[in-house]
Amino acid sequence: MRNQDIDEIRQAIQNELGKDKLNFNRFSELTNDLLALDQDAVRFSVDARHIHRLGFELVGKQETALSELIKNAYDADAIQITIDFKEYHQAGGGLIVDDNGSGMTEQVIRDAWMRLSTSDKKNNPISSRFGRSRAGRKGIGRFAVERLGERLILETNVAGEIYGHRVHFDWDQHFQHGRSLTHIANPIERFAKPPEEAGTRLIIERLRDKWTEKTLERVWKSVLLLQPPFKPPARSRAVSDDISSYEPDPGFQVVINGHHGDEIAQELSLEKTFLEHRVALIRGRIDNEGNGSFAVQSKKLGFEDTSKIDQKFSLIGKLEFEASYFIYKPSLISGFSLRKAEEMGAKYGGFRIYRDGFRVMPYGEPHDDWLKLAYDSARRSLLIPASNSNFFGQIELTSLENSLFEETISREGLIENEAYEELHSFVRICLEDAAKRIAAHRGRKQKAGQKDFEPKERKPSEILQEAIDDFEEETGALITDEQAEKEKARETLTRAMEVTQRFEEEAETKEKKHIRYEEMLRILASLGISISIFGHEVSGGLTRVTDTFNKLAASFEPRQTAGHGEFLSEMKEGLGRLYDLAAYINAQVDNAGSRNKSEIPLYGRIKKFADQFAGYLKTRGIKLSFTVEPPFLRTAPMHQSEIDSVLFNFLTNSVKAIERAKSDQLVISIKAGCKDGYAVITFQDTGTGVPGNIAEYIFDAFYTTTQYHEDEIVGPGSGLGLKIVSDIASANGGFVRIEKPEAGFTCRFDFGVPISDKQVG
Amino acid sequence: MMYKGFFVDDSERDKGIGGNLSIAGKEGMEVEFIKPELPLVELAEKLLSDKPDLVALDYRLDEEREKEDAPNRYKAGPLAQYLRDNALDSTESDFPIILVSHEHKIKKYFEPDLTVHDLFDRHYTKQEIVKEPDRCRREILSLARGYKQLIGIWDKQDRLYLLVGLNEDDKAEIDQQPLRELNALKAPHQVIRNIFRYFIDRSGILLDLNNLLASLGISPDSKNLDKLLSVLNKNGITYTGIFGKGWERWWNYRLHRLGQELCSEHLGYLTAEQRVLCLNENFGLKLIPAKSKWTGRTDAMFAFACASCRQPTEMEFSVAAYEPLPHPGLIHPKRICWKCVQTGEYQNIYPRLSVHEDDLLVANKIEHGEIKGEG
Repeated sequence: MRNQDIDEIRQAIQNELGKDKLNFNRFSELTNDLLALDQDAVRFSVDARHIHRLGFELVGKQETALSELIKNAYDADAIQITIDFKEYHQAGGGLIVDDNGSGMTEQVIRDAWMRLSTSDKKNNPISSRFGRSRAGRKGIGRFAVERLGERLILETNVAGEIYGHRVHFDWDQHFQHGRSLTHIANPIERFAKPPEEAGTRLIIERLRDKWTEKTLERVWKSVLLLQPPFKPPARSRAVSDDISSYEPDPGFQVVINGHHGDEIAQELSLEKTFLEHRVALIRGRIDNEGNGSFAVQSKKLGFEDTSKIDQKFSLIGKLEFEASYFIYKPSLISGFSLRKAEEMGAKYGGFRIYRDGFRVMPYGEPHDDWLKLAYDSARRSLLIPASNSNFFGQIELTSLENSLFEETISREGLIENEAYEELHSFVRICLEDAAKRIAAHRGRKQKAGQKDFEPKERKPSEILQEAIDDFEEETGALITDEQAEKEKARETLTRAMEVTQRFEEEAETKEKKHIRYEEMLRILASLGISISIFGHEVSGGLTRVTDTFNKLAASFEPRQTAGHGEFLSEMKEGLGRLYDLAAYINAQVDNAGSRNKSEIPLYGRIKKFADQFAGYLKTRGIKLSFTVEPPFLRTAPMHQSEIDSVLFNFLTNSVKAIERAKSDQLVISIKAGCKDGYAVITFQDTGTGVPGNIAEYIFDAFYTTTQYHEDEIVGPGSGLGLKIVSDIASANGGFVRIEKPEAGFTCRFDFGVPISDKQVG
Repeated sequence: MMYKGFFVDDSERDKGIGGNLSIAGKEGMEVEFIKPELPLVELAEKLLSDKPDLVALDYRLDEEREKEDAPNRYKAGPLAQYLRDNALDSTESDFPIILVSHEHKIKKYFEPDLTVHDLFDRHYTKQEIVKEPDRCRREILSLARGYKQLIGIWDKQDRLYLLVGLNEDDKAEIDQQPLRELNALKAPHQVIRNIFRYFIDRSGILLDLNNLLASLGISPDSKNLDKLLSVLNKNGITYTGIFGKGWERWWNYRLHRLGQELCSEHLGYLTAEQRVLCLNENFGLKLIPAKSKWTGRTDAMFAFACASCRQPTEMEFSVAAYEPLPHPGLIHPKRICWKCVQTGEYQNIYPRLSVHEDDLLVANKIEHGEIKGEG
């Protein structure tokens, strides 16, 4: 039976071979049938649906598939790849990927494209024209297209040939289960084309997925590193005829431009997705007279500056350049992968020189440091970010305008003549000074020896933004089914950011208010040190004066007149007053030295205060009375000097008010009692009172109601007394307020602090 | 005799203050001002050679120096130490050394952790010398006189008893052992120091005015105090021993013996009202009984004056004050009345008072209202 089958197949093959037009599919089937009858060997066969499985398993996500096609174009030495979408917001749309790479011959199509697991890229790891390291993964391209859409038209052509080739694939229709992969015939046709044309076009129909702007953006970012952030030059030229050398790589441009009906989708460009993250754009210029200048513009920092350079550049000629300046900090590269940005900087950073449209090597190459930026950064004579990776700049020289520049014979740089030295100096000055100005604006230390540097703390919102960026970076590449969760997390972070920013705005407003207050407190604090010395010195001096006075008085006694007596009495009174004040100052200084908090017994404290000021008040005819109920009333732990400060500030205000009032009643009353868990000191006087219209301002810093009058003993107020009282109350969880005075008084302040939690009743 | 003293101060401006210490009269004292323009040893030797009856030293002798290499680079302590060491060699050479300085320096000097303050018999602020010259003069004159008295009977066996004027009845009432030990000290300034500590500065054997009034239950506001003191003097209650003229004191146990005789009861068992009634009746006085600060009543059994407010205080309404140095039974421990504890007034006193830890529980209850007064 088997022999009969073999004979039948042999006959069928012979019949086919005899035909004018060979039926390749029939040959393929007969060959497979024959091989299946081989009793001495078995052979692998591949199910046609395997392509589909490999497509999803090897490639996975739709944007990965498209990224791979872009990388294939890069590996094919394409200078540009254009990706056009049609009707992509839903499945079933179309996609055209068009590159101007080296293209494929028919042989390459057969041997590489149509061969699974080809070793082509392994054998050829470097592209033939520009010496590019292969960016795409091996043999993934065909699966990527199968992953993207149900049908593919592959059009490819190479330079030097008058025909290109077109292959049709219908993945879903033809590559089905049960069919052998090798039996599926994919029609190929030739088409005429100009000989100089080269490239590959992939027309993918009936897209399997819808494409969102976010997905497109992810594609963009995945291939960003393939593109330098520079304009490509008009021309490129071979370095030499040496077969082992490569042409200078003009770069690789990716253009993604989706169309949906009449709408134009946002164009994804290098400018938009990378260069917009620059900290600043630096423009340098030399005019006809050799005057150099540069301008720095930073939208991110809201900063612009221009500067003229003192040095004259008479050899360079007229010139302009641009450079994008990057600082690789999360706060300055938000919405973009910091890692990718740094990679971009490492790969493409530097300052390129073009002459007559051609790139002059090696300026701006990764290993090149013609401006000595890397050198100085390494030596830390430049502390600002100003290495090659921080700049993406290029300068274009022309033979017409910049005639003194010449290239070396080997085309490996410019002759380093005086014009070159001037160019070096000019570009270096522009870049370095621009970076320093930005650093100064950002508050960074510019040089190692800078003394007047104060680092700024990062705001919480900056840290939060970094967290948001990291979140986007980590989750952005994922396509998970838990989209809602991710959105929820994003919303939470956004809300947190809003709250943080509001808080920061309020904090900045408060900080401005506090700065002036703190400046005055600093002055007062430094006065405190002087007061300590002053107090002791005054005490000593007063003692001597009093002694002298006593002796003087004693000398008058034998013949003292009424006038003498009055004079001596006034002097004695004055000295007594000074003594009391000096004693009070010394006592305050002694108390203020204690840093311990303790429960303050208000009776003892107020009594001591009253005793200390008894003489002072007596000379003014002011009567001070106090009561404390209950007598054991104690505050929660606080500084003793704080209570003294409160009493003192209230007292001085009362004395001023009483003297302004010029009333017959000169009374100050201090009552301390307990109310609602607070020890409340009620301070009342018979002075001028507090007008209702200023009551709300009276606790503000620098608000004072006392103006200096020549006939007054007391001087103008500092405006801080009640502010200090208010701060003490706040610091101790208490309060201070103006209350309605009791009968017989015109002014009343209530100061309350929590009572000791050990107090009973 | 006319006593001779020296006041050493680097500030010429304070010369006049030192001059206030001089006392005119045959039994007076002339105090000479000296600037410390010599190195320490030379100055000390010069002072010693003049055989002073008193030396007053400013605390900081090194603050005012006329030139960079001026020799006064020392404070009062080392100078006093040198002078004291000399007295160990020669009893007759001993003399009172007092510290005279501005208030804040005195306070700093007498912080508890400093150990040199035993070098000085007394200390005065310049402020009090100016404000209370008579008292200060009286005291230092008494001090100088006391030294002379002691030195005069130094070799006598019971010199202490002679100095203070203890009789046989007194000896029976007082613990003798500490007194015998005082008797055995080697230098006059050591004996003087202890006389102040056990007789003059603390109540126990003797009483100051506040404690006298407390023992008698008398209000300090009473008008007839001079008459009372005169009566007590007549009855031998007034202390007339060494330093008696400088510091008014009264014999404690003699007072109580008198009280017992007059009132037929130990004073300690009588209320203030009863004590005053007894005194008024016996001596024709118009004394007012003291009121308890805690109860507000005059039926209190006062025992001493509060160390804080100096008012008559009952034992039951007081707490012990912490004292860093131990003391023999001769001295009554300091106590603080409950009122001063309640109001916190005792915290305003200098030298600082604090409650003994044995009474902290009670003190806390008073401070926080768990124990409340009636007055």
